[in-house]
Amino acid sequence: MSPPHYKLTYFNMMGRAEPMRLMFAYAGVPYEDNRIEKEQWPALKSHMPNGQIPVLEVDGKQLSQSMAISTFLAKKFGLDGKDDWESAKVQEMLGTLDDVKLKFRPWMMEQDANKKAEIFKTVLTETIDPYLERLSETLKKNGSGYFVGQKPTQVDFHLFHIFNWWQQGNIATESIKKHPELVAFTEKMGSNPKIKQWLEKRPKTAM
Amino acid sequence: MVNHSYKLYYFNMRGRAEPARFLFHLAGVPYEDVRIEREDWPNHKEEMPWGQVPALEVDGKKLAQSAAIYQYLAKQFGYNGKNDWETAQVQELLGSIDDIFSAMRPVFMAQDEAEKKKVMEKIVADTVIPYLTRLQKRFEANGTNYFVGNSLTVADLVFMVTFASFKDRFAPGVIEKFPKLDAFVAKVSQEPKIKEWIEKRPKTDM
Repeated sequence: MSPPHYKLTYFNMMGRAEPMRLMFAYAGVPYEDNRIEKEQWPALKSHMPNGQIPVLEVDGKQLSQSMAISTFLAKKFGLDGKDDWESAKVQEMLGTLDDVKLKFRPWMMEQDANKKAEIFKTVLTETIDPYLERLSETLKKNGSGYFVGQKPTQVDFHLFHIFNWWQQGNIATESIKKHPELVAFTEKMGSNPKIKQWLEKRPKTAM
Repeated sequence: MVNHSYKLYYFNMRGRAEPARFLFHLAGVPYEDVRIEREDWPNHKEEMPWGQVPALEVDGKKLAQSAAIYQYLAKQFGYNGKNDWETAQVQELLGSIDDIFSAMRPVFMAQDEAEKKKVMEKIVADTVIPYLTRLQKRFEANGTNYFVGNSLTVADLVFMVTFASFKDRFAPGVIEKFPKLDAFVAKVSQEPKIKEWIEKRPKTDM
């Protein structure tokens, strides 16, 4: 039986596709990293079954929604926890991360530099700092160096991407520094040879 | 076979807990349907992981996030698709309806009725109608009267609950523009165990 052919379509940026790209790299599984430019999107949109990207194509069948894609791949790569309860905890953490990302959106959409800075201050105190506090507690309590269970799960890749992106963009640096275990987690994930190799060779984009 | 002890924590409303309540009822599995009054919530918030409800407690361990809860219960009770691809489709559909709710948030936040109506009309036209158009096509293409595979999954339950709440409250007249989806709600609501829960559940506004 031949291995499945995977094609991941997204914009030429990290965004919602990067955790999946990290998992492909970690698992050593080849895939087509199909990046489209923003100008191409309007024409392509009507061809995507759900009018959105990222889309994962597996032997010609298409799947949209980043969490569905991430979880489908995580299961294939052994990155979805050791049992149903761990998988559920993984989903719980992905959901809370998504809630946090939603709160970022006003900051990301704001064009005016002054307003942007003001919004960020609020996002930092109301959302980022409390969230990092909870993450740090979860990591310490779990005790394995990973967020769920004893081995890496897709949550670790989603969170590594965020921390790595923030590091790159000098976002919330002071906040992260308050949590040495989160800093250590980021370093540990980043120093994995397969992940390191991907970080070095991937196209460099701001987001 | 191990019997687990289940508790579901939420407010005294259908809202985000209802698909989980349907799953318990469909599976014939007993659970404690804990309904917290709004005034009492501050006393319970810190008991919940992430300070939110719904939360599911299984043998004393708690789980938050409605999607996590639905998929866990659906997996336990056999309503999460028959293979990894179907399970992925279930999750895809759950994610897509959640996006619609996020898009509708400005409607829930609007201050007065006039503003609410204006904001709603725009979101319905720009986002909800295109989504439902695609969704109806997908439903028809699947050809089984269910959204995934050929039997009921938690995706069907979430759609039924959501579309019913659109019809009754959040976006009256919208689902009715999609005859196949409208018929789906009516048909699924008539399945014996589903009908049973609809009839016996506590009657609340939302």
